[in-house]
Amino acid sequence: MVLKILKNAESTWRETVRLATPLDSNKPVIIGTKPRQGDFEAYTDNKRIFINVDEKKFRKNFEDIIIPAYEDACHLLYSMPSVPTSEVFPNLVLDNFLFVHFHEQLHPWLCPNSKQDERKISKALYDGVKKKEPGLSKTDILLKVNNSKNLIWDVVLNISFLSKTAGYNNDDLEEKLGFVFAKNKRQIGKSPVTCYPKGILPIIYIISANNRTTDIPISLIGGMYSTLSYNNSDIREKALDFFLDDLKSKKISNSDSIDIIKEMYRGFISELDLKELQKKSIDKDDYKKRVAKIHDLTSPDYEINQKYFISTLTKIFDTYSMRYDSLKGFMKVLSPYMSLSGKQGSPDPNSMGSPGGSGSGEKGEGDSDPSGGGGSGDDSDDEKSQDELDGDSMANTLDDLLGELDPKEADDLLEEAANSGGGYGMGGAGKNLLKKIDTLAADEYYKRNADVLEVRNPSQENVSFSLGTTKRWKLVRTDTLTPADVSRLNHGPIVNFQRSTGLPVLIEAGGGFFKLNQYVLEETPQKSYNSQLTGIEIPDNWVFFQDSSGSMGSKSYVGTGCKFDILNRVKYGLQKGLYKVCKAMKKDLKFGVVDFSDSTHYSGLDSLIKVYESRSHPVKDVSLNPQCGNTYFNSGVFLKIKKDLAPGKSIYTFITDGQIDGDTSSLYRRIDEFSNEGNHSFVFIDVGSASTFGRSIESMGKSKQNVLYFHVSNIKSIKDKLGSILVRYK
Amino acid sequence: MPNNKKPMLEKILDTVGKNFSEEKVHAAMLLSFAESMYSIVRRDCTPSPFYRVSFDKTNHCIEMEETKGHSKVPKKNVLDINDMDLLLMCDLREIPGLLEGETGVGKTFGIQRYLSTVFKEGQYFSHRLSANAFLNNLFQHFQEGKMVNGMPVVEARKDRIERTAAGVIDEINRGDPNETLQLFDNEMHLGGLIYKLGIPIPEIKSGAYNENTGRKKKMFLVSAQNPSSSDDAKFTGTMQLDAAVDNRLLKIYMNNAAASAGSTLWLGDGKGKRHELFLNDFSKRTAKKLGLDEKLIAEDDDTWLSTYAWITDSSKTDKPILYSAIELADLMTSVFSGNLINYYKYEKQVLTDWNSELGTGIEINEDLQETEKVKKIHEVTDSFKVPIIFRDIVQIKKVADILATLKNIKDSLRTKDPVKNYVDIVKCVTVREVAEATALVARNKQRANSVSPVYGINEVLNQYCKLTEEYMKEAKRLHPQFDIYDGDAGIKNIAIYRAIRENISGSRDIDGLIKEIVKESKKLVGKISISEDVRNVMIARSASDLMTLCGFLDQYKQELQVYKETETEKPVLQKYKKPTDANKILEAIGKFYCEKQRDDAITMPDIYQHRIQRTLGIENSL
Repeated sequence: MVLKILKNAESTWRETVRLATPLDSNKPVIIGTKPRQGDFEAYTDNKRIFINVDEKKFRKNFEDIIIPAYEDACHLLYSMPSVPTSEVFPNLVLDNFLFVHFHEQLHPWLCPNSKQDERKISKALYDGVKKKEPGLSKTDILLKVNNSKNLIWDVVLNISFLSKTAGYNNDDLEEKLGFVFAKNKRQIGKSPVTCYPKGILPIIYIISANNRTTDIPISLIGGMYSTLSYNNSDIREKALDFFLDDLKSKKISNSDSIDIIKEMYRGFISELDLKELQKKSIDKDDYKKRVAKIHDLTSPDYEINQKYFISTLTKIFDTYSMRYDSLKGFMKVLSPYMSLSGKQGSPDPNSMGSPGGSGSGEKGEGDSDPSGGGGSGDDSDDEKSQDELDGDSMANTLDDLLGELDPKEADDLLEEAANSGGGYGMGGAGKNLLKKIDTLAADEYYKRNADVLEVRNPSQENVSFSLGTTKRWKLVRTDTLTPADVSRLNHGPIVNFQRSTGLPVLIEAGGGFFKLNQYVLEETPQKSYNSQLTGIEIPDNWVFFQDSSGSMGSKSYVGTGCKFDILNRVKYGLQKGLYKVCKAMKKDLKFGVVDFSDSTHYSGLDSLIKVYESRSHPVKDVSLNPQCGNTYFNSGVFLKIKKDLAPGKSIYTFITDGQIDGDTSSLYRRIDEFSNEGNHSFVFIDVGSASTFGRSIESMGKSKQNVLYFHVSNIKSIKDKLGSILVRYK
Repeated sequence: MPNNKKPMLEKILDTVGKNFSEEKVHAAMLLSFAESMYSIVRRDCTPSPFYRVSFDKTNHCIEMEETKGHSKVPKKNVLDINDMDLLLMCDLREIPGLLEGETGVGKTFGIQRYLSTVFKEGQYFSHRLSANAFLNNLFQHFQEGKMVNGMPVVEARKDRIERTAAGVIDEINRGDPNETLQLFDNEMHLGGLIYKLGIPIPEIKSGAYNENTGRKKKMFLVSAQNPSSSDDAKFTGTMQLDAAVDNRLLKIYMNNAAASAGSTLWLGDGKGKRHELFLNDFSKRTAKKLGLDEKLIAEDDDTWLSTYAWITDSSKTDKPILYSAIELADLMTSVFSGNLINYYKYEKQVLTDWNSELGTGIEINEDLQETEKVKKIHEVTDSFKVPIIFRDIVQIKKVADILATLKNIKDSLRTKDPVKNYVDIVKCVTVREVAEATALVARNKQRANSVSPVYGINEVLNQYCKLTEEYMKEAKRLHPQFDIYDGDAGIKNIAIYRAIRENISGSRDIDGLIKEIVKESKKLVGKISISEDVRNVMIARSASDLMTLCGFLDQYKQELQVYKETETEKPVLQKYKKPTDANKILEAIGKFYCEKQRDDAITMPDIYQHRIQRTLGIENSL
């Protein structure tokens, strides 16, 4: 039955969309029956809507929680004298599913409606958290922004939905829904349903609150939705109680919860300029007076206030000059309750289009709550692990903030986030997330700050180039024509052709007959040769061996100028150079990093383009997380590398700043073996004092063209002197 | 001239005398022409359904369904369009038509049936183009080639030039574009001379029949072709039409109706001479509709062409375009003109520039973002083979007119007194026809298998009607609901009327009027919202138009202040003192603009010439 109602809801939604928002008329809805968790999930990739519902669980939740709360006053929501008991469930479920459809459909229309909108919202939230909690580290602010942004998008979207379905601000969704209901003769008992009921929005939040699957911010927002919904005080009180009870279980008293909700309302206008409010005829004092009455749920003018708030907030969200400041003010209130460890709200619908083609936020938190459920439906996400999705989501937030913050603040944020690794006593998901931020921020930092190292091959080669083509007419056919045939010819082109080419087309053949010659233009390419610099011949594999022992620097190395910091500038400079060349020449190579210190880390090889473009990648986890221990090298890693190599030429760049401990004779043998195979080249760089092992490689290099040894006094010299050598062979 | 050699029109005039009503006679003949043509053609040529279009007046949206050869169950308030409808309308509105479809679907058959019914042999030509340029002579029917002293000499066949009313060109995509364009322009360039093709249109002037007015009914040209090889790999011998040719045609994809028609095809009756039967039927129907004796007015084969030219003279089915239709067409053009984000920037810049010129205080600060809505609109515009160009705007007008005409004819013929109904029916082009026409023209411009433009068009239509209605409510109009037949509805129209009315009650000078228009524009710009990109484009364009009007008023302030309708009267701004006179002031401003445009065309800024007329909703009739 639930599925049948869901399909009915889809059909009603589509009919309405055709009239109200025609551009989405053919938006696909994909319905499934296996939510990853809980009873229900819905999400969008902006192009399609995905809804998965477990009929049994969903029905049980509805019957146990919603029906008892709504049953008595259901007729009031539908503005009719009575609703038969048997009609309560199907109608509430239908309207609930309608809300879900509109929620997912309207995401890309209302919030965030573009990449710029997403960025500006993230910045507003950043400013809000920073203002409320000035002592918070930039990394914590970043975490709070990342964890709250989806929830805030939903607030904008849901309040606008209330406005649209109530017909406020000249919106016609209410009218179109009424039209479709009337056209389809929707009835409850014998009464026609003429408009969308007031009080559907909080339903799924109520189920979550009742089941204690929400965090404090969601319950606070659910409470706020309750005060914005319902045209009857009894049901409004019942709905709000669900959230107050949940908040009480989280140690916030009822009166405190009400105060916070009032503060949330005030938050929306707290950062707004008086002049901007006046432009939209919003009186700040009047607004505040109305907020003071929020707790009085039985007040006779409660619905007048509801209408005022829905209409005013929608107006604010819809105005460029107020939208972001309003969310900043709102965030100020929610910030102290916002978790550092878990993301809240629905997933990032716009993250599909972000640079690098990354996926969206987490999947499968699906309780009966759109703010907690789902993930992107992009097929590519199915291949991504939860870690990768988390990384992508965080990277989007970081990206958004870096694009909006002033350059100094952005650099500070990057440095702090990149160096935040071990300093936080957070457990579980938070710790993982921080580790991710480290790597993400360090990656972004070096992408921004490393100078590109030009990758060129100075040798010259003869190359051919086209001089163009030569053309000549070739006779392909001759026909004999009678005078009657001739009179039907197109004489204009014939005369023109004869004049311009001097070739005979129509000629008298005697005896009253004519000959018609037909020609085609033949083209022959003309080539010449020239000697020119052909640029680098891209290898097929590049493995970067890096020493991350204690002498190279500490774990907080980003931007410090220590050896490991400079090494990364060199590494990223080279990556940038190669990435550029790969893109230009439309060729890719496999790239990997071997990090050695106490142990030898290696996470395989992958496309350099993919590694460089990804925000989160196992190669980067190895590359950007120094061990800061001793200088051991386990030469067994060569066996793993060998398995991962693409056929063709391979280059190994090896940088160390001291004596290598461990089985160096085995390492020497591996290098010797590999270099004996024609396609492998080694570039070994000793930094500081020349190591014994380095000297042995230097000797090897004297007899082998494909083993190069360099000794430099400091890492900076690598960049200055050896930039183009690092990936050279022969 | 003996009576039996007179054309039917002249005979009717002779019979009716002073009671001759051109409108009524034209309605009777037009309706009879259409009925007789269908009656004869349909004897052995089953319909090929093309489109079903409908307009939802309540929700302001269109539906355009490509019926792909399938006949549909009758439905109220829809306009079904089939092959003959299109041919008739192309003939009436003088638009070259092109039927494109696979071999055997009946393209040429249908066209031949139409032409051989309406015309006798020799009054139309039929030409199939081959792939060889030397053998392809589009003007073969009008030329005679000879060999003189071994040199080819081509002469015009003048006897055919004024006696050929129509032509069918098969495989037109094989033709030389330059020649095709000449033919579509009804011209033949030969030996340094330009020959005008087509049939002279007679007229009734001062109660007398006048055969030679100097005006010509354009030759009705219709073509057929297989899909080009780049659109459909099955037809490798054809190529895509040259863009210039393509844009002049109304191209219709003809689907296979065989499955729908089935064995009905066996039961057709193609006996008898179609044109003779047609003329007899036409004479009978016309006589009946006018209550005249058929014998007295019967049409003769020899005179038919001038009667045909008079019936199908496109000026007779021209109709006014309501302000809202012009405004919507303009907004459709802007929304589908290409990159919406760049376009919005341009309109923003116009506002900024007017602000710095006039100190209007009206500016838009934010750019349009690449939202999902914008992407969906771009999906449509990116599917166009050629971007929206001048000719498309003209095409939209023509097709809108076609749709209105077809609707008028079909609706009238469904009533008991078709002639009266046709005469009385409101004949105008409304937002309905503009939206439907935009859909058909947009489809014509798209590459095969592209996304339907209907959703985007409905979005524009929906937003336009909503915005106009919202604005009408704010203007406290008595009937604030958007009615498609309301001649005064329209965003800028309401803004200008309000401004003029306020100014009449206020300072009554040009500065005052400018202030009032600026006030209205501010209200409009205040409606810009983050979530409504299409609407924002409309607002920006409308506000820029209004500011351009202010610029014009400001530039000619001194002259306008003392501008008089006639020498002896008071200046317009002093003469009209009641708010109800607003339309008269508007008319006077329009007249002043047309005078200036005529006198100062060389120096008048292009932006005035682009925007003022559409803003005032006036035709330049001076």
